[in-house]
This record gives sequence, structure tokens and C-alpha cells, in this order.
Amino acid sequence: MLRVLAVVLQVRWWAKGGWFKRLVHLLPIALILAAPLLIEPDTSLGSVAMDIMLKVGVFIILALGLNVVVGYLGLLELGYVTFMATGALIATLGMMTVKTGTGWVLPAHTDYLPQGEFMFDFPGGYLVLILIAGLFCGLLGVLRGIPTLRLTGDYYAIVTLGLAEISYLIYRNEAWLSGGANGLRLSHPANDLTPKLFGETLYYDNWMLYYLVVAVIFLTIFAMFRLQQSRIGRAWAAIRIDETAARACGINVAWSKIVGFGISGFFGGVGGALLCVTSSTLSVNELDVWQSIIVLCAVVLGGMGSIRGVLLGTAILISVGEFLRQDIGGVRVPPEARYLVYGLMLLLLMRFRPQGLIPRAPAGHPPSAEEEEEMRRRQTPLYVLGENP
Amino acid sequence: MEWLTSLGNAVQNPATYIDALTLGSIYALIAVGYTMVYGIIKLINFAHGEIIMLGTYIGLLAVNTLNVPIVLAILIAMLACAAIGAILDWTAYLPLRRSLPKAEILSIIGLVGGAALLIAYFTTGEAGDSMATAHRLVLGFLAVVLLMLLVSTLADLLGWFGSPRNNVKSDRLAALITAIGMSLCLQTMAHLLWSAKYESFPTAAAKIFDSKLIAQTTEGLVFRWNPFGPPLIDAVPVLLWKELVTWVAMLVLMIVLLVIVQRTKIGKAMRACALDQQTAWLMGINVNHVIAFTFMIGSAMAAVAGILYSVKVGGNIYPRMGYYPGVIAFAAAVLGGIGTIKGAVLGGLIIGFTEAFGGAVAQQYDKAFAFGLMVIFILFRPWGILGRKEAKRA
Amino acid sequence: MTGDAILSTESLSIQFGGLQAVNNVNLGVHRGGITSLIGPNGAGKTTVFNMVTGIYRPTAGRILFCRQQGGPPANITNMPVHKVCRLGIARTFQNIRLFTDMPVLENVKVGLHARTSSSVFGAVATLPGTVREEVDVEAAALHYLDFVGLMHSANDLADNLAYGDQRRLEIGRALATHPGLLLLDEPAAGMNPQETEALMELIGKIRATGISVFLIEHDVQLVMKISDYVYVVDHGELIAEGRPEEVQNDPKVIEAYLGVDEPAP
Repeated sequence: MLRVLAVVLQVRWWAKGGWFKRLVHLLPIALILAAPLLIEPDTSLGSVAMDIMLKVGVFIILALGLNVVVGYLGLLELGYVTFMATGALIATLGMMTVKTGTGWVLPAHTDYLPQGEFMFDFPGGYLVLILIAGLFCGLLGVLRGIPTLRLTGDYYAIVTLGLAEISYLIYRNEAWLSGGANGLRLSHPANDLTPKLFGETLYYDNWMLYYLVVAVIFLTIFAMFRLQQSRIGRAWAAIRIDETAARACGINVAWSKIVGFGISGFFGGVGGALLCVTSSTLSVNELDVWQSIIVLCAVVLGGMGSIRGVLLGTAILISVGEFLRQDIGGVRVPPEARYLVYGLMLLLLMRFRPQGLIPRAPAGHPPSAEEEEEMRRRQTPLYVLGENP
Repeated sequence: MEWLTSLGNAVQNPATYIDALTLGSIYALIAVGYTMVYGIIKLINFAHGEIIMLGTYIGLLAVNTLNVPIVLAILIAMLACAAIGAILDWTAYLPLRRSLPKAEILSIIGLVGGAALLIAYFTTGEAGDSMATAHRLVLGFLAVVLLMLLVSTLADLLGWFGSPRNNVKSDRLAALITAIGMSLCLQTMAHLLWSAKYESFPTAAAKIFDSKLIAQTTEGLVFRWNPFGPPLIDAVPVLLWKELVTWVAMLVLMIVLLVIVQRTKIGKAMRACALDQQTAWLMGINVNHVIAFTFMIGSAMAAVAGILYSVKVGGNIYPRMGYYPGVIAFAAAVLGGIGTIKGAVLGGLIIGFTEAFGGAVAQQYDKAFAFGLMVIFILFRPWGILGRKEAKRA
Repeated sequence: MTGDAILSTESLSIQFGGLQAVNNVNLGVHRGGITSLIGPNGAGKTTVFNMVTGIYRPTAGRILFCRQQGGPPANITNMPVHKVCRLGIARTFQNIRLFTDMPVLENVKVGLHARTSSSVFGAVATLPGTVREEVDVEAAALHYLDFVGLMHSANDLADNLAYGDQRRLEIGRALATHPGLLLLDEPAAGMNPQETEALMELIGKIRATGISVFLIEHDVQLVMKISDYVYVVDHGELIAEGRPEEVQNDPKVIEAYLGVDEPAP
């Protein structure tokens, strides 16, 4: 039975692998957990490292969410930034919501001095906000997905791009909602709105934020692994490879796709909510369509549909991009060099390694001989052939 | 209803129609490039917007450095963009349509060489080096890699690695991602070359375009056929030369294009490739040449459109200038029916009118109207107004 | 045809543009038997299958499916493809349509999709019910693979299977949906005699379990050997039906297949 569980939970490498293999898997996790002991955020190098790590972390969540549509469903999504912006906006506005004499007020002015009782100013309030942002964006993903169900390939890409442009225009122009070009600032000089979690301020030099992001990443990875190996994951893979055959196997293609859009949107919203905290400002102006393309680059670099690939791709892409922003030996590389790296990378990858750095493994891990024996002895109601068993 | 009033005002104002027609003509010129490429290789050429941008910069350079009149600058930009279009196909898309195993070596040499250049610079460079040097080096890196990608393709085309194999696989997703990558590369290149500041054609050069053709004076409408005459200072402009030029340019170029596609040998080859590439190969058509030619034509049109666009708006030359007109013109191509030249014109005009009248209602959202129209069309009538619905037989 | 039909069509017709691809076809599939549909290339055989499984919408006519003997027939005309499958009609395709990037076992698991019900939340939260179902799915998939004789290649990619094995896998995947009626679209196409022999054995085995089989086939030998009842279509119309030996000698069938000699002037 243990072996069967290992099959289901995808920890076969643990059950079967040698010590070396276990070490290879555990070492990065240990390093990530121990990072607070190794890096000092007070030094300039430490703060840069911290900054990069946080950004990589948030983008990993975003990339894993995008991977559901791009990797599992095989649709080129160019409008992911809508979820990032919406999630960020919900979290920021939530932090700013204050109770005044007239009721709950959403103050979206940079010069507003909030006075009174904050709506989410309770322990764990920020976690609730993240969840709200995720659920709202999941709903948004579902609503946006329903009309696009029939589209494939280029038309899906261009429709998501068009919708993202529209939402970008709305957020940018409606200053009462999003602060417009100035953006919304969480760290106000008069009244610090930086979110707090269990008394700790979530700021980039604070380990609470780091562990929050790490925890969300672990949850996301676990969820993705489980989805990939489950009924819905198989349905997604079937739809990606051959939609007609998937239908003929009894898969409700529309429903499966909608679920995928919703999940993708959920993680987009969660990532967006974390993104606005790591920079303590929300500027919807910066969240243009090119941000979706950066996330897409990360997914493509790592390997569409491969969780490990997405982790590696995002880590490389975002850290290189952030690194290029810093002074290197006193010389500052022009900031556009980031986009050069992204563009060239897409070009070279598609030509020489379209499957990405770590290509997707064939879905599932077929069982070994002993497991097979165990399975064959198992009586299951799903094995009924014919009309009268 | 405030917006209804502004719409009413826009409907009564002839300037809105002129603006719509001009904008529509420009979109039509861009849309043709999309529609022809999509018709043949089923690819949304995201880099088309960057061709618009490059064409405009080339025109600007010609005016500024060679002191040529702007009409000649348009011709120069057309030629240059035609070349860029073909190079774009060879660098980015052709390798995806063919299998070029050995050509990879050359590309990797390019990558390693460019990287070595960069590392050598940054390890030996002293502190405080100027930004400009860094710009040039990053640009150099890009240039080396792109050049080697191009050379490797050409070398393969010339048969240096033995006989090439054609059309081994064509993954549309890969081509689309490549297009996005190319778009990023070209944008960055322009950014590094010319910096992000807004530029415009010098007033002296654009003078002909900016002079009034029809103006409203106290004595009524005045026609001024001579653009070089003394300026009408107190008159309210009704129609400017640049607007007439845009309409005429669009009409003439579209007729030329229709003649090319319908009446010439290469046009027949293009139509054949659009229907069935495999069969076209078997009939002795070199499909790769036809595709390159298509890219050339579309890019030349984009150059014209880019220059006219920046003249219309008055300035607006910057590295990302091609993005919006590019995407909106794709919307136009879809609207009219992708794959047909007449559809591109019709779609361009419709989008132009939508944007002009939408902009009159809500200035901030003029682009949103165009995008919204595109989304609605793709969802409900993806084959467009003039296109034919594909028979749904598996 | 007489007797109990699991599937029957009533004046089924479809038009593509101006082309009348299938015209006024009435046929019935024997419960528990093997019924064949034959006819020259382009006669509209696959189109009939596509209408039955809901891929095409007929322009006229009805399709009735009655899974339980004596039960009320369900009208499955214009029903979405996945619902038809869940009611109990599974199919294979003329040009094999496997999930090529997936291992063989996973292909069969996809077939089990319609019969399982674990939710997304159950999967993410690893609820005990979901875990049990996933183990059941794996076990059942192995049983089906065993049935079609592909146990040895459970871990291979579907793409890497031999041609005949790909056909068998497609049948296995269809069986996993728990059909009452199995539609096979030219299962023996491109097979050598040994493979065809093995396939006939498999079809016999499927029939023995009580599943009705509806077969499109070009190999007339195979059809005549295993069918209980044969329909012949040409130019979208039913031109003959009956027991194999009756159909074999029908002049209209011979004409459709061989053409007719023009009488000398």
C-alpha cells in the first residue's frame, strides 16, 4: 500500500531512489529554507540578493500559474498581466480600505492620509487578502475563458492580448481606482500601510515576507504536481494533444478548459497580490503586456508544461534580468539589455531547443513490475467489461 | 448623456471623417503585411510592428543625414524595409520551417563570440565607463548573434551543408514565440541605437505635408493647390496635404498590390502557396522565395505606413511606436477577412473609423474600441467580413 | 433488420455545402452482435460514425441509442461528443488518434475519465477518496491493457508502438470508457495478415463480453468472416443489407465495388 501511495503522491524517487538522489532533492529545499541565516539584508549585497530572491519567488508563482494554460492546455496566453494587475490592485486597495464615519472607504489617492480603522488590520488579514485576490482573479479567468473556448493557436493569443490591452487602458485611465500614472503607495510617509503579518512588517528586508513567498511557492508546486497527475491533468494533456480524440474519450473539453483558466487566473491573482508587496508600490502603468511576455519567456525557457523546468527557467530569467539592473563592477549595463536577453533567448530556444531546458516528462510514471503485480491483484469497480458482469 | 453629445458633435464634424479615413488608410497599409504573411504561413508576424518602427527611423535618418525630400525618404525606407523583411524571414522563421542541423554550429559560434566580446569588455573595463560604450557593446552582441543566425541560414540555403531538407516541421506555436522574440530584439536594438526619446521629422522636411489643401477662411472654403506657396495663416485647415497623400498612397499601393497578386507570375505563386505549400513545392515553386517576397512586400508597405503615421501624428518616433499600430492593424486584417487584400483595406478603414469616433467619445479609450471590435470579430466571425468560412469537414 | 437494436438511425442525412454526403440512411446495430458497414471509398461510412458520435450534426433524421435491453431508447441526435461517450458509445478513428506524447498506460487512463469523478479540489487536497480512485484508475488501466494484450509496453510512449499495437491501444482506450457499443473505423487498415488475425480474435473477445460492435472495414474477407449483419453504402445511400452471404451476391453491391459492364452497342 505504501508503494501505491508513492505512486499517487509522486514521491517514488523518495521511495526508490538512493541517498544521493534524495540529497539532490533535499539540498535546494534546505538552502532555500536556510537562506535567512546565510544572507544579511543590511549589507548592500544582501539587500540586492534579497530583492532578487523575492522577485524570483513571486514570478515562480506567476509562471506556474501561466504554465497551466500555456503548458498543460497548449494555448499561447498573452494576457496574463490582467490577473497580475487585478490581484495587485485588490491587495493594495484592501490594505488601504479604512472605516470612517460614513462607512468603509476605498481611498485611492496618493495624498490621502488614512485615518481610522483598517479593514484588514487583523492578524493574518493579509493572507485573507491574498486569497480574495486569487479567488477574484480565478473568477475573472473563468469569465474571460468562456467566450474564448473555441479559439486555438494564434487567435487565442491575439484575443488575450487584445483583452489585456483593454484592461490595461482601463486601469491606467481610471485614476480613482488605481491611482493612474502615479500608482498607489503602500508605504505612506504619514501612515505606513505596508502590510503586516502576525505583527511583522512585510518588507523586502523582512524574513516574514520571504517565508510567506516560500510557503506559497511550496503550496503552488504541490498543487501543480497533484493537478498534473490527477484526472483533470490527464484531461488537459489529452485536450492539448488531440481535442477531438479527447472528446471521444468522454472528456468535457469546455469544462476542463474553464477549470484550467480559473486555476491559472487564481495563481495570477495570488502572484499579483504578492508582487505589489515586494515593491511596496502598485503602479499599474508598469503592468503592461510586456510583463505577460516576461512570464511567458520564463515558462518557455524552462520548458512548457514542466514544473521543474518552469522553476529553473524563472530562476534564471528573472535573476539575470534583475542582475542586469545592478551595477556590475561599476559599469551599468543599459536597462534595456534585459529585453535583449529575453528576446534573444526566445529566438534561440525556439530554433535549437523548443522543448525548453527541462522538457516535460511524459505524463505520469508508469509502475514498476512489482507495483504492476500489486495493481493486477487489485479488484476495482472501474474494471467492468461488457454489459452483464 | 454626455458621450452621446460628443458623438453627435463628432458625426457633424467633417474633421472626424478625414481623420478616420487617414487613420484607416494607414492601418490598411500595415494590415496588408499581416494578411499576406498570415495567408501563406499562418503566422501572426508580431515583428511587423517593429518593421514599421524601423522604416520610420530609416526615413528619418534619410531626411536628417542625406537631406532628401520626404517623398524620396519614403522610397528609401521602402527599399530598406523590403530587405529587412527578407532578412527577418531568413533569420527567424525560415529555420523553423526547415531542418538545419549543421547550421546550428555557426549560430553557436555567434552566440559564444558575442558573449566573449561582452565578458571581455566587462571584465577589463574600468569603472565609470560611459553608458554609450555599454550600449554599443550590448548592441554589438545582439548584432553578432543575429548575423550568425542569418549567416547559418544562408549557408544552408546555398548548400554548404549538403542538400537542405524542406518543410520538415512547422510548429505554429514555435513560430509565434519566435515572432515575439524577434519583436523584442528589434525593439531593444532601436532603443540602444536611437535611445527612447521621441523624435519627429524636421518641420522643413514635413512642410509640404503640413500645408493646407483646403482651408476655411472668412470668405468661405479656399483651395490651395500649390503646397509651396505662402502659408495661409489665418485660415482654419479643413484638409491637409498629408491626409490627401495618405489616401492616394493607400489607393495606389493597393491597386499595385492587387495587380501583382492577380496578374503576375509571382502573384500566382503566392496564391498557390497560400492554398497548399506541399503541392506548390511539387509544382516547382520555390516556396521559400515566395515567402521571402511576401515579407518584402508587406514590409515595404509597413515603411510607408510608418512614415505617414508619424507625419500624421506629428512626431511620435520612438522604439515602441510600432506596437499599437501593429496590433491594431492585425485587428483590421482579421476584421476584413484574413488573407485577402481587399479585406485588409476594408478592415483598416473600419478600424480607423472606430478609433476616430471612439476617440471622439472617450479620448483615453480610442485604442480600446479597436481592440474590442477585434475581440468581438474573432469570437463571432473569425473569418472576417470578406473572408470565406472554411467548410467544417474533417 | 429485425430483432433488438442497440443503435438505430432513422432517415439520417447530412449535407456539406451542396454535397449530400449521407442521404436517408436507416440502419440498426444488433445488440451483442457484430454489424458492419462497408462501401467504396468516399461512400460516407466515416461520416455516419461521425454523426453517431456527435462530431457532425446531421441535417435530417434521428439517432436512437438503447443501452439496456428493453429500456427506453435515448435520442442522441445532436448530443455533444462527450455525452454520447458517457452514454456508452465508444469509437476508434480511421487515422489513429492516440495521445502520442503520453505513455500507453496514460492513454488508457484518459479513457477512464468519463467513469471517474474526483474533483480538482480533491486532487489538490489529496483527499482519501481521490487517492483511492487514482489507485483504482491505475489498476483498471492495467487490466484493460492486459485485455488488449499490451501489458508489456505499458511504459512506452504511444507514439513508439508498432502500428498494429497502436490500433489495439486505441481499442483499449475505447473499452475503458465502458461502452455498450463500440464503433471501429477500419481497424485492420494497414495491417499484415497475422496482425489482422490477432485483431479478429480481439474483436471476438470483445463481443464475448456482451459489447455490441459496429465496424467499418475495407477488408471484405474479415467482414464476411466475423459479421452478423452487413450494410452497404454507396454515394451516401444504403444500397444493400443482410447477412454476409446475402450481401456478397447482391448485384448492386458487386456493381458498386467493381463497376458495371456497359452493354455492347
